[in-house]
Amino acid sequence: MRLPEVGVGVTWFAGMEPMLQANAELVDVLEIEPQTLWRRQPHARTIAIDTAALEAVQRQQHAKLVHSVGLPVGGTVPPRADDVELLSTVALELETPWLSEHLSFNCVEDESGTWHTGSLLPPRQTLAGVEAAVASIHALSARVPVPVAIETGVSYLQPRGDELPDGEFVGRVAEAADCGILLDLHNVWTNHQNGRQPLGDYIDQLPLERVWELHVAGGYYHRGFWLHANSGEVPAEVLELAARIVPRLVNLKAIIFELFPSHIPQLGARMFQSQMDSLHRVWDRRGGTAVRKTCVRSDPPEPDPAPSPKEWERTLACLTVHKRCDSPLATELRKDRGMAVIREMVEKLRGSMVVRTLRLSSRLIILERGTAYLEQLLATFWRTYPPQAFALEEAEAFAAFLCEEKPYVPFLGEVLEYDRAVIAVALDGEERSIAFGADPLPLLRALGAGRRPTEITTGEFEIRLTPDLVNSQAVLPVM
Amino acid sequence: MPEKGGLVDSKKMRSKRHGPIRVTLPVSVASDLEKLERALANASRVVEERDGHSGWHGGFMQVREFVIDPASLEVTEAAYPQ
Repeated sequence: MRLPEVGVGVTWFAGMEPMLQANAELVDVLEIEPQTLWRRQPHARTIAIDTAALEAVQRQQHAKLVHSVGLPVGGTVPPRADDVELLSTVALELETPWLSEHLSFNCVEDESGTWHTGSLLPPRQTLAGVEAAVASIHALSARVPVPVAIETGVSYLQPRGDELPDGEFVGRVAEAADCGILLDLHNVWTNHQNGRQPLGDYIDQLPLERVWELHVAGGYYHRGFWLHANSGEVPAEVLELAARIVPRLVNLKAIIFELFPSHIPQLGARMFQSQMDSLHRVWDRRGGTAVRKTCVRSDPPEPDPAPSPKEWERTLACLTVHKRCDSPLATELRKDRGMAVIREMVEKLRGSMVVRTLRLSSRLIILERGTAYLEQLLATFWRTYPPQAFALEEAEAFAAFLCEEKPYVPFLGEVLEYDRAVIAVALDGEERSIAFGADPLPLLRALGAGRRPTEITTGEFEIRLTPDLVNSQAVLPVM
Repeated sequence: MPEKGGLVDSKKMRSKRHGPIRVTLPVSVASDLEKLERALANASRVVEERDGHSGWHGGFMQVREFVIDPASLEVTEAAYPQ
């Protein structure tokens, strides 16, 4: 398969134009997570592409790569047809030469229906797991206009004796599905740091000629685990690994520095430039000659060992979202220290969706009752409401929870209505009015400035929110 | 268990002073906390000025509407509230 070389790049986020202008020589390609361009329509079950956000990406002169983060292909539940259609549209609009998705799962189907796990979770690494992943990849690749690469995932669980090693699992899936590999070196290094497969063994088990793209990123230690967090500087060992492996990747077409926008101030402009310089030096090492080698393979047991991929996914997802599960596998997984890390990461993500969406309501709760009280409310919420795929849905669920729970927080009802209305007006462009029984001017002003509201006058007030030009990403965080 | 109660705390409120007031706020201002703070400060100032000049008593007045300009964040009182 002949794909174009697109070079060294960085993850796109809204508002990064000045950063791109300042580093014009260093950024060849932008990697776009298509889900950041999707919007759940208020009061509807449909998702639509945010045309303004898409056009903002299209205006950039760089090459674009589409990297999906919401339709993983490592599990037994294939991506939903509607979502694949949206992904296809973004791929066509951005003229991506290939697209990538994670070799993980984020949805479970059981007797209660299909539900979201709140995060990408590691798949069952057996031959049956390979078969399930290949079926999911085929379901995706049959409906998108460009070739598909699978991203190597991270797992905080300890390796299991009844599973294929990490590298072999990825290799077998890529070969059986006949797809590319997005080798996330930071994920692989993270797994190695946390006691999974040694790096050298992992690389030996990969069909390296299938690697089209590399990801590098930063992370940090937490509770004895190294976390994959896209949080800034790439560890020196990951850069060294990249420099060693790139000459062996004869079909490498891109290297992407993954970085969450919230970590950019901490990283700083000079360090960003230094990191991109390093990646260009790594990129320049490509061009080695192909060496045909046989990938190292184990001899997996036949028949496939229990649990099945479906049982694995359901159990892991139940434990992640606090659903009741009493199977022997659940008992076993509860003893794995990585389980608590997975759960904590899902909850951090859910918490950030709420705090960044219901901004003034969250501030009000913190200012009136303290951070610990908000955390206590969130902990109760997480145990009673399942995770949602979109920030808007997660925020709506938390708002519903607050209305049921009726916590003692002055003015919360009105501020909550206001927060929800701001998002709704930004998304659908329809005017909304919110009635206040207290003067909203000092109330909202205090919250906007991060001060506790005091001495608020009663009366009849109304805030009429009118639509005008606003970037919906400014009011609504992505997934 | 979190303490439960009403969503509004009457102890934090001062006695009723204002009649019906509507503030029209463009969503581009509402979604930017810095702009919101500045715009609401302007609105508070204008409302207080108007109250002072008119010796206004809410019970005899119609709805008064204050409109925030999204570009300048300046506030004007609408002559004919809608």
